[in-house]
Amino acid sequence: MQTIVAGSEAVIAHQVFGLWQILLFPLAGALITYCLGASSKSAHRYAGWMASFSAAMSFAWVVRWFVSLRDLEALHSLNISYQETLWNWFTVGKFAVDFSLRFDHLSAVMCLFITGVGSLIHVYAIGYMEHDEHRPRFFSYLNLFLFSMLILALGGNLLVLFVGWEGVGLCSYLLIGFWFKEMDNAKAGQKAFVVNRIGDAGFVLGMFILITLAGSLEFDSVNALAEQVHGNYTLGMMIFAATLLLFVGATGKSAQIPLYVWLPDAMAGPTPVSALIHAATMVTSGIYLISRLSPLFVVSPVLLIIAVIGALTAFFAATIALVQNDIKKVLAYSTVSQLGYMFMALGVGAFSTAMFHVVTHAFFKACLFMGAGSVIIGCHHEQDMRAFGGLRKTMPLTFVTYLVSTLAIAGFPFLSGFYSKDMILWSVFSDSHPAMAAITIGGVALNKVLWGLGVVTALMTAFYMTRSLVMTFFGEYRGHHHPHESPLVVTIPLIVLATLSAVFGALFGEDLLQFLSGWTRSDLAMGHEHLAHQPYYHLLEYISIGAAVSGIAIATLFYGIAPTIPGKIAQAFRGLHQLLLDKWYIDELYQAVFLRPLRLLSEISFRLVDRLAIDGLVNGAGVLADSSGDLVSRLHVGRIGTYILAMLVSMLGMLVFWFVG
Amino acid sequence: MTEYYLGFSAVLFALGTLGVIVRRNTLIVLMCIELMLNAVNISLVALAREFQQVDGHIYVFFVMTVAAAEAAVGLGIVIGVFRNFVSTEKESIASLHG
Repeated sequence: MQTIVAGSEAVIAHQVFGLWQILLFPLAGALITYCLGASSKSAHRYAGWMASFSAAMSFAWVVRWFVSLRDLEALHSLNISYQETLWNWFTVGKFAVDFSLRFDHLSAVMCLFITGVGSLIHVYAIGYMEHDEHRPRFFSYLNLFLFSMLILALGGNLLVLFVGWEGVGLCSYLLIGFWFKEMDNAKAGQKAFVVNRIGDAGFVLGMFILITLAGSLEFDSVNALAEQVHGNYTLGMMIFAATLLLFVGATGKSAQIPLYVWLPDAMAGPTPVSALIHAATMVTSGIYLISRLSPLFVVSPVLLIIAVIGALTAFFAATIALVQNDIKKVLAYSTVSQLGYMFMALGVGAFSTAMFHVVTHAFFKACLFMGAGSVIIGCHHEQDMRAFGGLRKTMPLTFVTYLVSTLAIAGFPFLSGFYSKDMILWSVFSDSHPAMAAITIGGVALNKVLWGLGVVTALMTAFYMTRSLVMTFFGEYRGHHHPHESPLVVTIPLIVLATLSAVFGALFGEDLLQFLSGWTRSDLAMGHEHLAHQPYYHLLEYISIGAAVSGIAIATLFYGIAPTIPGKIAQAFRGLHQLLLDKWYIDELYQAVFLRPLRLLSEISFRLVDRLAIDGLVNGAGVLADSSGDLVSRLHVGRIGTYILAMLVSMLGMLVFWFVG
Repeated sequence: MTEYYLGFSAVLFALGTLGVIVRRNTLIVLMCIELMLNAVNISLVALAREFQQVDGHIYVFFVMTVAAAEAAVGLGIVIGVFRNFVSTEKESIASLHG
């Protein structure tokens, strides 16, 4: 047992063996489901249940390890982190990387909700994908995703984390483009993978810098760099570069500006995929990464950038969500926006608060996506909200769960979203970092401006979520199908998640914050009672509640009570409305600025460099051989006389040389 | 005295070589080859007489034997070739060209 200082409290590292068993179930599930599905048609029925069983078993295992960790900690009144080294991956000179796993407070929280929400979504997908012919492949990919995500969360060093990071990127590609026979779906999968890759390039470069600085990629070694930074300007700059690059990786995976463009397109995948990957788990990887390396990020100026980008992304995505008509697109932009909140929290050093929002967001966003999926299959694969309406009568269970989750995400008091969002806004407002106060916009300190953005975004969030609720479940049904409630396999996970969205914040919020605090430096994790004595706290709380309630009220007015108003406003501000509907033309901007020049460059490379130069060289070698062969073969005249002459002339020549030379 | 013999041998050899290059008929070429061999025989005998050694004479025997055998074999080849090409012109046996 050795002592490592992680954050403000000492943590004991405890070697264990057996964490790998958590990973075993999803991996085995993926392989077995795929092979069984490929071999027999009748096995298709069981594919979903097999995969859900694997997911549930990994959840059970995580719980077992969690309980064991807590018991051990209670026994010794210490903070413990389980470490497990599976094998020595490679050693190059002095740089050694083991395939190691780590189970401490942070990874425990991650694994619990990954496997928990993951299992629920597996069960849900059994119902959602009931009529799909390719179920085994789907469930195999889902399990593979779970496997990769667990590697990411359990990784003991940056490289193992990166293995999981890449793995989830791959599974995201496979699952988004699951119905690849439609070109648009395949393109969406490719877009997700390529944009992710750009982020990964940043991640890898950041890792390289860290290897140069620390000689190792173990979390403890890398985090220890932060202690040497005082007065060391070069080290500070290098750390800034490394953390900035890692943040670029995080923007790719967690869909922040500028690399968020893949997430709305990713809605082309089946809804369980959107729920699992693009709401609850994969997109939180960036936040997990930064929390893991929090001691390093705390001493780097990049936190300011993270906070600003988080706030901007939250605001920006919310504006787009206001006018979208596809229910999944609304939820997609909502996800980008909520992730922005989490990055805002990270940016002010409130790492455990960000993780708190990660967990609550996983609950309500997964519930929202699954609810949307339930509506979609209930209305026979219709996704446009303008063809919904009045569904609370035909789909009551879905309605109630969607309602609860909407209230949670809007920040309605006492639901979990309220607690986590409130904590984030409070952390941003009261950030005491000198840089935040020094930078002013129009005379107002930066962190107050970001807080303001956060509040406006909260209002917009409440508005557009309520809009989607009202358009879908209230009023009269505007579609052409016969909607029906979804089966139990679909509704039971909805109920579980809605319950969690409702009560988790109130019941376990404090405990979670306490559990994660002290895990990172300069963390804000004060108890609610303590907070109540802080200046402005109650005022801020009321402002947040006000924003949420007014958002809900305005949306109810616009879409429930006086449905002609939105149309009139859209007409009055037609330009703005079109701008928001077309996503601020960012995709078109990227096309013009990046994709077209790149395509031009690749055309030039293809025609000029590849065809002309390289093929010319290679083919030219062939032509050369051919023509010289032709030339030489002219010596074969076939006429004996010529041969004899040649023979005699050469003999004469030899004799001459012999006598003369 | 010997030099006349050697000169004579050289001339015969040159004529034989010329014949091999120039003449079209394969049989004539074979005859010219014989001529070359016999020219060498003359020079061998002349030199043997000059140095009063018997080696030259023995060598001549060998050359004659080989010439005879070679003539036999060569004629056999000519007959074989004639069967395939129906011509004894050496110019027409030119199918091995590139």
